[in-house]
Amino acid sequence: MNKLKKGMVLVGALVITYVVFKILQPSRFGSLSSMFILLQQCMISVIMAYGTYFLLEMGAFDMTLGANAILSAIVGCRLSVIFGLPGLLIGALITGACLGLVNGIMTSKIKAPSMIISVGLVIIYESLGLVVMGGGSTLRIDSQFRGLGMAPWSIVISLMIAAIIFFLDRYTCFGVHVNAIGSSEPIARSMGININKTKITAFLISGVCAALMGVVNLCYNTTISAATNLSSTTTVFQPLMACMIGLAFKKHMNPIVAILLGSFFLALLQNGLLTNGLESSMQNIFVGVALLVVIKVTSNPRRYDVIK
Amino acid sequence: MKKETLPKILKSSAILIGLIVLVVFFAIVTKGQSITLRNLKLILGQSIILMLVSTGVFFVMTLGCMDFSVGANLALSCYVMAKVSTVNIPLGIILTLVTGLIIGCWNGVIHAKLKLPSFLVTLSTMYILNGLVIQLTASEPVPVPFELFKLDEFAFKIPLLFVVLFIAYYLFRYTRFGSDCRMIGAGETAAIYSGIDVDKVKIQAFCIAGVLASLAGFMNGIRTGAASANAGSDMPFNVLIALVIGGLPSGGGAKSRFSAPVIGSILISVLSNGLVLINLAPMVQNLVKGIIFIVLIIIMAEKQMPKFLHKKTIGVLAEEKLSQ
Amino acid sequence: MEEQVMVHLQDLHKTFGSTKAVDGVSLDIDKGEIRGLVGENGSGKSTLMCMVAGLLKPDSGSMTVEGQPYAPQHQAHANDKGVSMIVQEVNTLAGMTVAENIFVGHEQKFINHGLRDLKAMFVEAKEYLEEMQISGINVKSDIDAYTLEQRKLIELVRAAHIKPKLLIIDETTTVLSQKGRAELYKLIHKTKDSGNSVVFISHDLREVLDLCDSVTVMRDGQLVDTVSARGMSENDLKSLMVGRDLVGSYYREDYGMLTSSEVVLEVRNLNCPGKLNDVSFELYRGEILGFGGLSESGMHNLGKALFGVEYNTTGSVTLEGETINIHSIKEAIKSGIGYVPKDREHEALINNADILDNICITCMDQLQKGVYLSPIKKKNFAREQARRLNIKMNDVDQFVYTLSGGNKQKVTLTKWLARGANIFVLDSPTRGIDVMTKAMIYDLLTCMKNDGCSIIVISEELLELIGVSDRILILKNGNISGEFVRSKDLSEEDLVSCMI
Repeated sequence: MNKLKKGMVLVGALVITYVVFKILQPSRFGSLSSMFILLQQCMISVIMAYGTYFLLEMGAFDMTLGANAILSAIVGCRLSVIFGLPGLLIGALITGACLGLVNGIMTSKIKAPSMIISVGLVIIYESLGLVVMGGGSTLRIDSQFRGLGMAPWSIVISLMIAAIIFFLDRYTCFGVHVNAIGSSEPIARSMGININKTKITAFLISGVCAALMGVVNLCYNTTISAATNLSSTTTVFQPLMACMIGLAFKKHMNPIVAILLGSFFLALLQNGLLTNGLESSMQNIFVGVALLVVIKVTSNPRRYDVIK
Repeated sequence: MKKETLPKILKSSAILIGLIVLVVFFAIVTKGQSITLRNLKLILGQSIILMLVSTGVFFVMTLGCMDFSVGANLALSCYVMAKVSTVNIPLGIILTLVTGLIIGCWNGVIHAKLKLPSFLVTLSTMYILNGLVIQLTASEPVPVPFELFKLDEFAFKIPLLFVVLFIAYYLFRYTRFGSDCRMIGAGETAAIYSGIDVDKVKIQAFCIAGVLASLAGFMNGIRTGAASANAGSDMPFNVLIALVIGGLPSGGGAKSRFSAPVIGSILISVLSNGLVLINLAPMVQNLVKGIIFIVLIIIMAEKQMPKFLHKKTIGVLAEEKLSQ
Repeated sequence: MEEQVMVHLQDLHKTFGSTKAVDGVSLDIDKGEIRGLVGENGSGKSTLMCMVAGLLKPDSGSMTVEGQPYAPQHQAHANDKGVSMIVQEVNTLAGMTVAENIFVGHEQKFINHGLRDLKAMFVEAKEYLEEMQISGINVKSDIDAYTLEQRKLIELVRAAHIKPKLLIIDETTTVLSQKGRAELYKLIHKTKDSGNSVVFISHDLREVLDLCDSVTVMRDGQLVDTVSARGMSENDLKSLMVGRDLVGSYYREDYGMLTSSEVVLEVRNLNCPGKLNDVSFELYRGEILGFGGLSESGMHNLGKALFGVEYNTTGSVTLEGETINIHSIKEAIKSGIGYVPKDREHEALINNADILDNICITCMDQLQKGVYLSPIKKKNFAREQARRLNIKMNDVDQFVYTLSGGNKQKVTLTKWLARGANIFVLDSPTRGIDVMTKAMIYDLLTCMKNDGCSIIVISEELLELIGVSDRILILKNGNISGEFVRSKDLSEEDLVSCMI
């Protein structure tokens, strides 16, 4: 009963946020149709959040996912012109998988701070995106693929990812190994769990999810433009925050559901602020502030812990 | 003894040799275009701003932390200068530096006192400031008062740069602060156990980075004549690559040398300039820099970290903290 | 004869840095035998057994199990070969269920058509728990919900469920209650009765003699002897454990010396939740005060608390009449406390920096003049200080990670001596240090004592405590459970009786 109660905190936060904004802006906020649009957007970003789940569980984190999503989507978009839907999907997913793999190998094998390596990789992925894009500032996807980003399909895709992540977490050795490494890496190693292999696999999964999110997002928005100078990292943090909220409630409810709720909560909050007169250029400010708050609330460092 | 010293000299001057090779390479490829007086002046002008910012970040990176907010800081400081200078120029300059100080102080306090990873804190600051600057400049540049253009002379900028570099070098080499920075970077736990006030040193270092970034914002203002939203957006990465290429260990620590920001900045300016001169598309330029950066990290990682030391977990958020 | 032997170890070696932890050990363990393994702390018994259980890899040497060559890569691999171990520390994975903890490393067993069969795992875990008659544990719930003892019992199930040919139990009884011990003994006897072997490591010699068929004694990484438990007395075992050549010249030899009655440090009602419980004591000028106990007794936390590192301590520490803030390392240092932590690699020294920086780090306020810190002065100062303790080095710009354990400890001591600290808190000062440096450190302690410094020595090595301290306090579960004054007749046994 207690378990359920704590889980309800998240649902409660959602409801309260909704009610508060509805009272503040009864006409402009919270109509059923706008909520549905919000849900669609949230379903897209949650794909990446699910991807980072295993990484976060192990205490790792991948800043390149945003650049990965953009580059994979650009590759998919280019290939869709030639090969159609298979080109779009397979091209993007293979790109995403490769980038994830590179990331995993680099961060687990090189003895340098993973942050620093990530920054280098983000710059490379971002400029590769520009190179693949070739010239123009935006790339448009053929309207026939639009459906992939719209209601039934985008939701089907993210639910599918949710199911896969749930399955991996619950019913495979990989899930247990991730849990064990997150709990204590030395003990996990002594029990014969291959740490590097597990980590690289997790990076691979997150890469594929990021690519998928990139494609669905592209289909939803119909256009994509490349990012420069680390601006792609903004895309990472909303899913990351959702995932952190999900993990914080892990003990009290199914993390897969909690991530979805967390993602929806953040989207609702942002939407509410926007309808209350926050201009869209202030979105970055929202991400910045929310990032600090979410991390502070979900983390609990002790005195004299070393945090760089 | 002699056998040891020759490779040692070679090793310690590897960066300098790299710089010379780079200059010669571009001189040959561009058929002397890159070593004309005009171009050299251009390189110098570019490297001043980068050098100021990287000198500040140098202290932060020596601690083993990171500051991504310097670019956005530069843009906001530039805006503050442009706005306030129209009223009163000295006040404008002072407020510019105060802006930088506040931003640096915010970064330092949030990172040290709330115990949040520095890269997340400064990224968050970067987003907030970016949003703010876009909002303030409303997507069109704010002009800087005409009188200030007069300052855009090497006669003013070079001495200023030297004063800053001298103070920074003095701080790093001849005060307790510099020594504490290196010790924290090399082993924070042991530094705490030896009585170093780690929080204070960290906040001070972030403040220095903030002030120098705003000084760079000032320089940028008088150079370009306007404050725009995307000023300094490439700064975080350029600073990082300049410091790493200048020989700063990626995790900071006792092996940090002050030559890193100085030589690194010149190297990156020469490289950027050269890549433009050989007509490389802008996107490929960044790609080249990124690849050079990663390769350097890979080469240096093996050398700079003793085997038994585990890699520093800057990007790691311990799961036990998350699940509580 | 050959079929009698369950496990055979041949000339095993293991070194950590410059310390030989296990130095050429060969050992046979028979089938159906309960073997006791005893020795002082640091004698290498845990290291030896960790190698057998696959937790550590031997540098050289070979092992066989039932005549088959055996080289475990990790614990799960050792389990497959029939060897399992319960280690001293808590070794369960937080945030995972009881069943997952029991079968970690063996998940493959429950993969059914590519799926992890949770139901089968729960059922099997429950069966094992019932088989061992451990009640009150739900296999589906989080392991964090259970107490230390219950978690230890779950570890017991993890080690036993594979029906090991060799079961190794390292210092487990100390955290178990009477009931838990009974369970453990039952398991041990059951293993023996089924023709398999047990290695039992404990400090409690009485327990070892009661339980085991034969006892192997180790000292300084080497095997001393294997004797039959029948007819052995605790004292016989002890003399085998101790008998080192250096005894005598090793420790202080003065007895009955009067220490000053001037209190320099007064600790009142020091509390630290779960670690320390109302600890009060005084430290006199020129006194060496020893603290002993089991490693989980809170004595290591006591050292940290005095230095201001433990974050949630309450109580008062008065230094020469002035109360100091127990949450500030800075204040502790300012008032003249120097702390040598147990974890030398991370807490005591900055490994990735040179000797110069490590020595000068505590003396900055003395070296800095205004805003000027002279590098030359720093170097001369460090050289001078390093010479005092004879640190073996090329020059002070040598990096600390290149030094041996003993020299590292000398650097740590130097950095506090250089500052002129007069109260020293030394946690495990001779851990992993060669005999020569050990003797040097003991001499140094006496010198410091004669200079009027007051020293707290926290150590798990009882002989060391008896050898160097003027007074010994024993901690047990965070409480002071005994006090002994320096005397010739003080024996380890007296101390142990207060520890357990």
